[in-house]
Amino acid sequence: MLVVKDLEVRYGDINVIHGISFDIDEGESVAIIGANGAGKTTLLRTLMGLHLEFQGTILLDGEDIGRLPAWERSGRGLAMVPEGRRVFPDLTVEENLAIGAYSRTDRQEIEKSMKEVYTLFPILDQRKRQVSKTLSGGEQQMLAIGRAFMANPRLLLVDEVSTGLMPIFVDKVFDALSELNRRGVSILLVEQNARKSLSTMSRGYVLETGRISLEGSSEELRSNPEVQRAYLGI
Amino acid sequence: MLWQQLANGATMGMIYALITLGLTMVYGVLRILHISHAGIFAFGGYIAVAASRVSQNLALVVAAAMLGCGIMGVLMQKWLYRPLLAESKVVSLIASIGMFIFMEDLFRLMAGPYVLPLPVLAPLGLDRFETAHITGNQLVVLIASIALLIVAWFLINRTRLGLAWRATEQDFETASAFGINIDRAVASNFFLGSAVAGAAGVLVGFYYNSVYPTMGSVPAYKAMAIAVMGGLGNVWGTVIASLILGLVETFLVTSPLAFILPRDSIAFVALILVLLFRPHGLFGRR
Repeated sequence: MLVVKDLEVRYGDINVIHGISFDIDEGESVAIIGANGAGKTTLLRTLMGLHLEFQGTILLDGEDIGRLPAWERSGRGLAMVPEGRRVFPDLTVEENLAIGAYSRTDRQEIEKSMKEVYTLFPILDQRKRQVSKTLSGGEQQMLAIGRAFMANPRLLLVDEVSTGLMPIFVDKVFDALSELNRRGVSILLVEQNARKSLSTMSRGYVLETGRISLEGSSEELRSNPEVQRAYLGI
Repeated sequence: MLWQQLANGATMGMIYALITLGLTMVYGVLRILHISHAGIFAFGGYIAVAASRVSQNLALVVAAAMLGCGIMGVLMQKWLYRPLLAESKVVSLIASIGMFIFMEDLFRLMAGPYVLPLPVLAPLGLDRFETAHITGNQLVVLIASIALLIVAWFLINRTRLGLAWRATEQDFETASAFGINIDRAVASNFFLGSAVAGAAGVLVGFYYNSVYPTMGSVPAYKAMAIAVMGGLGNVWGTVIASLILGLVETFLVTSPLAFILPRDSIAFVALILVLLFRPHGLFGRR
């Protein structure tokens, strides 16, 4: 579904990602783990179209989407749960979800998705008329996931969902992601929390200062001594 | 006398609100102080003068000015502000002031340095209506501006397009990641803001029966003061601050204080006070 070939990304004069290649199949859930500063957020921003200074190819269903602006990529089935949640602070919960469905036109289906989000996260239903900056961090993270779900994406890009959340919320958020994946949404997750991501996603890559150093199924990575030492703290 | 003063003040206030609305909308989306907005306001007056040769119907003339000014606003955003977006905000501020001066002189060159009359008629014969409290023309201006403000409020708060504007204003990157075409959102925002300024230009021209090249000079900076008082980007704050200013100005010119405080200075004295004591605006939130 998504194929990335020899991707090099720059921020001004600094090379952040030095030629990486990876792919995600339809319905797969893939984790990219790595330390702070490994280039994970930059990678996701580039895939979404928010950062355009790069070389290499990004293929979605065999078509090069590298030059498309973000809003057109959204129309092709990409959606994002951005780093730091980035819910629209002065919009209500309901309006945030409506923005999620902005690329869609099927009114009844949108209604249905909205109900599903409220079933997945009942707290959002209770708070739907509230301005979203008044939500707690965990609630905002649920809203960010709900908003992305509203886009009815085929591939969901998820950036550091566990950061700054209480452990109980971390579990909740990862459960929601597995649920989305069960419903057929492919997921690309970048995370510092390697333990949690390797137990939820099926396959993984290790990104180290802009290069992929390891790849494999989640079990393989979990039993790899390198990964255990550096990321799992075993 | 009191009622007349109230009518005068409220009429001025609603006109201020129309001019400031566009300014505050543009600030919301681009964080630019759009001084040449007042040039677009005057442009509305001139379109009305030209259109009045074809039709004297105020509603048609307002519609023509709104369309012309809306297009003008979109062009200005495309060719003046967009190329400067990556620069510091001071650059677009200077460009905007330059554009405003250029427009004033362009009006002077094209239509002459005269005060032109604006011979348009109010609908339903309202211009012949008159009571001791309010004139027909005031009624027309009040009704038209309230209607425009309500339409603008509805567009901003109750439509899909308005939702896109508000999302773009708060976080344009995330908005674009969810399918909002940022270029189009900004352009349509400029269109509406400029169209409303154009309508204000016609209404002022109609109310005073005069259109002249520098008619935007005082509104340019006064609208800035009102926008800050109302809290930049806050529509209702803008309307209330405009009404307060219109009323205070009207009552003050007939009081003994007018001797030391001329009419046009009030907005700026208020601006200084607001910046000193409530920098987020009278109704602004942190």
